Amino acid sequence: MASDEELMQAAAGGDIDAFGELVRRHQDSAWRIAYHYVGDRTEAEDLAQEAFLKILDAASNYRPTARFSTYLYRVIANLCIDYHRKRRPHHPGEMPAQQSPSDAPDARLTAKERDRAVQRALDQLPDRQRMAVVLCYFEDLPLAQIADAMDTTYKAVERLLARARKSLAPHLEHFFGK
Amino acid sequence: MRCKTAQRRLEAYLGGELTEKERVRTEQHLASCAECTRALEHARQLRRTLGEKMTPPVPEGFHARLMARAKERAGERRWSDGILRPFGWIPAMAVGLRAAAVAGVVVALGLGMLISRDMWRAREPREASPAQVAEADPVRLYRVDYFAEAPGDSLAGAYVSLVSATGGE
Repeated sequence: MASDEELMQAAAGGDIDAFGELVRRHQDSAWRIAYHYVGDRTEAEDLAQEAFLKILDAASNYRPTARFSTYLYRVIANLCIDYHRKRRPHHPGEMPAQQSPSDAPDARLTAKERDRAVQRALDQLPDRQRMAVVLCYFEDLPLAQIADAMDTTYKAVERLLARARKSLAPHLEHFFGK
Repeated sequence: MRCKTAQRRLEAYLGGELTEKERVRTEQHLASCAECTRALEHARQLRRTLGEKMTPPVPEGFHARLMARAKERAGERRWSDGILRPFGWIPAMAVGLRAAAVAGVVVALGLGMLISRDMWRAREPREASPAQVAEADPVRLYRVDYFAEAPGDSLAGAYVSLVSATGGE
């Protein structure tokens, strides 16, 4: 079976089926990242498709110096961050109101409501913290690979995640231990 | 180890990414710091809560839609490549050959310009020499046009007749 890098080289030579195979292998990942980052199916599909098309357009410049998946993570991370910055600039002062104890979820709280609360909490994070959280918790990437994908250092990723944890915890601690 | 460092490393600790030395030092700090132990517990719970968030499956038809767009783009690319194809062999040439090709083009252009200049010159009407003008119209050459209307039996008329008859000699 051809490696991702071989498929990319074939795609660069105009082999559209090779590109199709690459998409099949990595579409789940691209979709997952885009979906948890933007929290909207239509926007997530647009972003995931755009990432693959961008990769196809630049296929002739691709050099297999890193794993293809890292290259894909980098493309999709940049697209998500750029898209979100253009669409809705982040205002650090505008944090959603924290739930009071009387709002605390009870046993009736459905998984759907929990998912919405998680997405709301993610939405209030600054762009790069959010991307680090998505790559770490939803994509389960090691910190070194997150650093590669976000074009930053390992230490910077540790800091992004530590700050994100501090911001997320107050919004989600009522789900802890449930 | 300071609390700040320990808390920064919690994710790597939970993911099993610390070196043995870092792990031991972090655990030593956690054993003696209630605040960092609480932070570790929060990190664990957060990991679990986020991990439970559902991921919907990739939308139906995602691959087909994407491939249709990809084929459309590939078609556009082929079209633009077709325009550039006549020059597509240039990057594959050796540097010396490329230099020779450039020199050849420059020489050919220069020759072309020289030849076309001569051709244009050949087609342009040449200015007549004074002898030719004199032969064709001596009155005009010797600027005696103002005598041209003079009566034939006047002195001026005789002068014009003389000039015309000798062709200005």
